Amino acid sequence: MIEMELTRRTFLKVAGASAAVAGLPLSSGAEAAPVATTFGAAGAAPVPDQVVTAGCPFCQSTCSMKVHVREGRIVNVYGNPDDPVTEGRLCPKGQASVDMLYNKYRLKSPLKRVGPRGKPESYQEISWDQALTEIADKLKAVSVKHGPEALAWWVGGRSESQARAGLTGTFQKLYGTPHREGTGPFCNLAGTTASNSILGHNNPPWTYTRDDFGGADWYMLVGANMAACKVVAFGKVNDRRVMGKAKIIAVDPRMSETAGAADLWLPIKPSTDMALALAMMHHIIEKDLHNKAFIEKKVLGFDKLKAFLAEKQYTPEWAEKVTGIPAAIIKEISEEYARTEKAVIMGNAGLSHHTNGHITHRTFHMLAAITGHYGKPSMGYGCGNTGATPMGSISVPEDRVVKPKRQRLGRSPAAWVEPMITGKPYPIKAFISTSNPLVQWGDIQRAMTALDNLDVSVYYSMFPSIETQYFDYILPVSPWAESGGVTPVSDERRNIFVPHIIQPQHQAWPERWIFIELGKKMGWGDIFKDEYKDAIVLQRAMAKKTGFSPERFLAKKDAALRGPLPKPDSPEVGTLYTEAHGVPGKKGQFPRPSGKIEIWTEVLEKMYAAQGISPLPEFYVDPEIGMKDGLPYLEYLDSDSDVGITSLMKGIVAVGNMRARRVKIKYPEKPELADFDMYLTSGRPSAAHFGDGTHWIQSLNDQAPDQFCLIHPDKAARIGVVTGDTVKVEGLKGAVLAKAWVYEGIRKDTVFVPNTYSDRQPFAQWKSLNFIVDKDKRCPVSDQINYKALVCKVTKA
Amino acid sequence: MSQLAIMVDLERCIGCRSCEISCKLENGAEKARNKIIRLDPREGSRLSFMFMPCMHCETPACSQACPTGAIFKRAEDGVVLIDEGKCIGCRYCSWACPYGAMGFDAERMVADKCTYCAHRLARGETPSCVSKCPGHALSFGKVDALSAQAKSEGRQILDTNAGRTNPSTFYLARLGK
Repeated sequence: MIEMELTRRTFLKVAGASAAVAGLPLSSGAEAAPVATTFGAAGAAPVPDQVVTAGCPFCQSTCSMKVHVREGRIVNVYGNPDDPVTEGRLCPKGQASVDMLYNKYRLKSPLKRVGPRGKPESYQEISWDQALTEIADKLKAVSVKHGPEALAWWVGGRSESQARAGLTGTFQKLYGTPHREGTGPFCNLAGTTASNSILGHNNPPWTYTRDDFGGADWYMLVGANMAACKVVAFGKVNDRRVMGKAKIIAVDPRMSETAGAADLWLPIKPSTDMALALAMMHHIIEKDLHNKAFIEKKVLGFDKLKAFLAEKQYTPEWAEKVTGIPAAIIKEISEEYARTEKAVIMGNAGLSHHTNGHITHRTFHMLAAITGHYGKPSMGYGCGNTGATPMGSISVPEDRVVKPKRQRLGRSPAAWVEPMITGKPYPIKAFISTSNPLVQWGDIQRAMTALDNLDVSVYYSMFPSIETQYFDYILPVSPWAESGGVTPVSDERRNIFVPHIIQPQHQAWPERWIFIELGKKMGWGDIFKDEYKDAIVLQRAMAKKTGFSPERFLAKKDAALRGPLPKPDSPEVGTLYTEAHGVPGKKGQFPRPSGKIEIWTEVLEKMYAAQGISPLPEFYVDPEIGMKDGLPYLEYLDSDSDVGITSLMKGIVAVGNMRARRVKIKYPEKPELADFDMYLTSGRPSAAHFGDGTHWIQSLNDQAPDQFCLIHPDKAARIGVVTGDTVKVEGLKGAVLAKAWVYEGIRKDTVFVPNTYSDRQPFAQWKSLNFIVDKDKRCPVSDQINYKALVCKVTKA
Repeated sequence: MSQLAIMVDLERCIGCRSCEISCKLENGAEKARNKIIRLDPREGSRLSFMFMPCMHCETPACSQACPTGAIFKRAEDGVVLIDEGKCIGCRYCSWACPYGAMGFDAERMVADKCTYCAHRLARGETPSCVSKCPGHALSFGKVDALSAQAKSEGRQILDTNAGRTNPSTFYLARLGK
């Protein structure tokens, strides 16, 4: 990726050039001799004897796929031309789902830890019966000894939905713990909660079709590297730009793949995106470009916002100092945005992974609201991956439901770590997990310590990731085609039904089977019925009251259904928040209590004030950035071992009786941390990767094999580093290594080190960046960790 | 003869490298027969990506260099193919190709290259990479029709004929900014 073949250099120069190119001198044959590429034994993929429609198991695009099967083996996957979202296209990950199945690294049998953590030789193979019997016995003992609240279950985000969202929920109800959570708090729960708080529903307004998201005239993508993270959706947006029908602005500290395609790249300082939205609103109101008719009819709290922006003087000139984006450009794009009806602003994890994630998303929603950008297709503000719409669950008799008696300890699973170690405010003693807590969570060393304090820890997954050397029990999972079921949801509310295509391999089982068998061992066999091991039977039982029946899925050529489908016969709806549809199953165009977009209300004021913040957009940055630059940042009054207060944010973020932390916005008198001269930000390495799992698939791993550090040539020259050198990136909580990649397309004061790497991956070993991320500095509303704005020093290793 | 070609739009390529995986899957190859080369920004240019399959040249250097006549240009559509029965594995072709497009199957000791998925063309389908490209950056068809379409859209076609082999795969330059 970094190197370029010498022999092609001359030829390649033409690619970047936009001016006329004359005939190119190539090197002479002798100099130009390329090293022959070894292709290996080649042979065309066999013609399938069966083509099955299924859904991709990876990201939040949820693409429909045509799976080619020959003699019981999956030989290829193609896109589905009948899918209006993908138009038959597929990114690298969807295709590599074949290599995910037929993969020599797969976990093959249940394992039990019989020696010290951290060593593969500490594990011995056991039978499923022994594993599930022992796990169930330990879970029962934890409930008796410590109360049911002492079980925590991280269900991950991208495994099969019936099991992940449905059956674990049933298990939770019967066991009585408040601690079951998905990936949201590590992903985009900040966007979910912001949308809940202002529009009254979690999902963005659009669908990824050409008549909606793909049909706008103007796009601003903020902290959203769509080209790598939402590949097929961005392909269409970029197609529209090339046709001359749309402008794209990318706001990102580095020239991402998305920024490389955009008309305008705004390299913003990490952690300050909120200031951009504030200044845009300030300018729009000053120029009288806000949509008064829309505000009058559909927005609450505009006058408060207007006065607040004026009082705080969040002007473009102020924002220039904070963000590094020139005031003139902020003014220009503000005016373009206000004057363009079909204008989309999208945020993603680049905004969510901060202590100001919730309020930043909320501020962008306000910007869209005061300019009237809701109610029609191809407009609005939204964040990716803001959660599913309810699909239903199997019924549990009311008298069998165990209601938790103690408060839920925060929204983020990262909030479970300290109670596991300190036992305060009460102990968590059992932990079931999938995904990769020891790659993904911050302060990974602390999470490893927490495992030592548990009575039982269970990890279920496909590959022998680092967790399989630390948890007590390891259960091998059969993924998508071996399992059948329902894909995870897309950004724009689609799920796809996946038929059971091939038999589970090795001794792995689908999650659905594992949870049913575990439920039976818990003594709940009347609810976790054997017949539910069949994905169609289970889907019929779960979706009894909703529109997600297997029959409806399978009647569609792309096997996809878009929620909400609150009733069996509810029609699928495209754009949300229109006058005609609002949100199916909820009241009003904007299902807040008022039926309007709520920028400020007295009720909201009380909810936020209880934690020391406001529904109005008071600017602050992440703590390390604030300390380094003398900008406002959060001080935390409650730790994860404290009782804190009970969250008032019902319907926004609170799940039942949930602990919330109190904070205070601190305005520092002077900058500190002078030793740390650089900002450190993070993100997806490339379109090939999605968590730890893709690093076990060689074809994907080859596309971005090493943890790298994008560094500007000026900085690289100062520290004597060239591309390919190993550098040490040292933050406040320690250091990691990465391969230097000298790159002109990044701010001079910022380095970018991607996530998803681990020192227990098969092809390359890199200590995860998340070892030096502070898990305790989280957004007070969404509870999200700040992964994307740290300070650091970079030196040659 | 009516030459077939892939038209590569450098403005539409978003660098996802779907093409590489599709080639591996379709052709059962350990290494893709195509590749994406990333062109990092230099002196203010933008990040770009270059898709590199076989150029299926009008006068293929590989074919001219082949001592056994194993590499031939198919008469009806101009696709350049290898007759593996005649290939002796000398690799002169890979030295000759100015685009570095010729590979080698070390197990079977024969040259190996992009065929525009000739087996799919025979079924009336497009090359696998073209069909899956999320960026809509790859188009496949008769070279005259494709270049006429590009010109009608005001797009500039890059001169990539430095090797004087008259490549068929052709590139639309990035739009001026």
